[in-house]
Amino acid sequence: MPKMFASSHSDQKTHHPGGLHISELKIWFDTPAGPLRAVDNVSLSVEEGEIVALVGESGSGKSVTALAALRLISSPPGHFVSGSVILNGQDILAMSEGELEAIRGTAAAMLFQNPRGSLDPSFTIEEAFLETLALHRPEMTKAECYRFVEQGLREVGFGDWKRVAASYPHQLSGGMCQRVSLAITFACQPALLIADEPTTALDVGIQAKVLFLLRKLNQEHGLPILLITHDFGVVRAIAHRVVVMYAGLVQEEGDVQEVLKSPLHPYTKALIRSVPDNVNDDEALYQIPGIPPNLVDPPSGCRFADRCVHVTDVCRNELPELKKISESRAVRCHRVDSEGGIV
Amino acid sequence: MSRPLLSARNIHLSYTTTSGFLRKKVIASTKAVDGVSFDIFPGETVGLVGGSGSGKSTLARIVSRLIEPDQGEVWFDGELLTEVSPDRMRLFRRDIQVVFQDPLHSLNPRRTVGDSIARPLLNFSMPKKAALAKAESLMELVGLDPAATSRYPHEFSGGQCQRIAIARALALEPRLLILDEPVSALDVSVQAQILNLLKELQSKLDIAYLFVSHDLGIVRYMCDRTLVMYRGQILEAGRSNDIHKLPAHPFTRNFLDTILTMDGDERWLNAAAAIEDVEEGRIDGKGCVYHAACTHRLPQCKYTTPLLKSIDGSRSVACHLYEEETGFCPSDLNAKYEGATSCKSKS
Repeated sequence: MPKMFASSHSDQKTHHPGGLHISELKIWFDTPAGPLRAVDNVSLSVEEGEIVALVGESGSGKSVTALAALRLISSPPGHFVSGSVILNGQDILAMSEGELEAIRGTAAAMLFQNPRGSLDPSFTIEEAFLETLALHRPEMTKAECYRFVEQGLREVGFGDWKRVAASYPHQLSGGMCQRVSLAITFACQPALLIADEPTTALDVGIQAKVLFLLRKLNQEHGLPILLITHDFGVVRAIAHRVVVMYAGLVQEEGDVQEVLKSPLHPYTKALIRSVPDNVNDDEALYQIPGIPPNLVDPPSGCRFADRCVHVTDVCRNELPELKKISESRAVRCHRVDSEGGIV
Repeated sequence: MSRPLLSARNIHLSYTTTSGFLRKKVIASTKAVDGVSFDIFPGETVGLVGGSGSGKSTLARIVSRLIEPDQGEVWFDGELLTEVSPDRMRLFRRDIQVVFQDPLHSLNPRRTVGDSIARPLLNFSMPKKAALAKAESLMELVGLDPAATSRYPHEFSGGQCQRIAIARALALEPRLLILDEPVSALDVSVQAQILNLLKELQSKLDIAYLFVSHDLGIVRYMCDRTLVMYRGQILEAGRSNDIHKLPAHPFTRNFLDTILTMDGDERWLNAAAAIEDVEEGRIDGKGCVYHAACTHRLPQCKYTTPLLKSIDGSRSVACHLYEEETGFCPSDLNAKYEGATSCKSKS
């Protein structure tokens, strides 16, 4: 394992105690029909050394929450209505644009779904790598930088790193581009990695490879990761904790093992059941009926009520609280009592 | 068995990178499809699986004649598709339709969805009124509100757009539908809806599907037979359930291991650690395309190309492990997995 990675990471930990702490965050977007409540009171934290999965379907607000960690939301149309975002002990929402620019990439770095889109097509991988190093690691000499490129590419599994370094993004496959992005992202030595659906566009083999690398970075360097996904298979594979979002609200959170063993929210259950794992080919797959609510005018009751199989009158009229039922577990459902039993 | 609806015979296609004045100098050539043959029978679903760059999408496009192969024949319903005149080909377009991966990009954003669905019908001279009426009934067939035909693609979700793309592909009542990764771009919960819809439509309309995917789990669920591709070649072919339960080719075994499961086994970790970017390492295009990464490789794998040979009634494998004298069988490959017993006693 390259020494550079390990040592500097432990340095950073002493400088910034931290991880990511989002509390009671509300982000609304202006639309012609009125404000759209994309994120509506979300609290979430990623402690040091932890992989937290943020799960939900398109439009649940999971990506907006993740972008908020680095205030990567253009305003207008986006507004931070209330709440706070603390990254490594720094208040992100109170910072100036210049201060933000300085911490993006180092305090937290992002890995996006479309790897080709995050690499400039007119630069070779080596040039892209060196540019990032020049920006974020100005103290390094040229020779050190070149060695770093080799180590970085080797660490993400490129035995033939020389060929990769000399390639342009279009000459590499999607999975290779994603691993290159991961190497470059990690070269900035971020204190937190935010991975937004990093494997959705990849085939299963490369997905396994990328998840394997994320897990390795977490285990060997203690890198905390916020992993955005819609796939419980991915959650099961590498995450420690899971937060399930639906229609701008956290619906359930807890340790991955516990949530998978006994999901309490009907939406979590439905999501887990949709994975075509052990279904006989003559049975129909489980599908969640209906569509998510319009977040410009959200229902006054539970936001999942219209699609829920257990819906009652109280669900339609009253928004359930996010009830804490143990140290790590919380659920937003009228059917679940404070001990985690089903009423 | 009846006559195949579609037969592909010895298809070859290389992509070349050129440089120099008038781009005449070929600097690199990649075999995207390398001698592939297969059949699709009426009403069945054939899965075409492989990783990115395996040539599966290229093959699907050759079969629908969206691109021309360098060499090889495609037969459809007794006619040699690769040599028919453009006029005659137009008629075959009715019978072979394609659904692409990204539903938002395959629908024209400036046309109402009703217009998009009716377009192929108008193209085959159906009167406009009748075509629009048919579009409405197709919307209903795929589970959407027929009144929504006057709306535009951006007003629909990804899953709904994919339903519209399916409706458009069904408009001409094709006999073969080519589904190129139809659910890869969709959320897990929406995936289930589309897969259920496709199964339902098939039982109603009796169409054959060529289902291209990188997910062996979904292919097992959807398809009667599966073809496993790697670097332009078919390495294994057989009944989907058999392949899923007891893969015969070392590549298929590794490919299955990388699938993330919900039961908590950690096979994917070992499989992922084993994935290295190895050069093909074949000499003069001979040898097995998988040999450099294979954990079971034999000395001859580097020099002789294994042919796709039948190992029992329904299964074919291109692998030197199954040469007759060794008596090797799929159970031996899967010895460390549950439910596999050696078949040496049987032979």
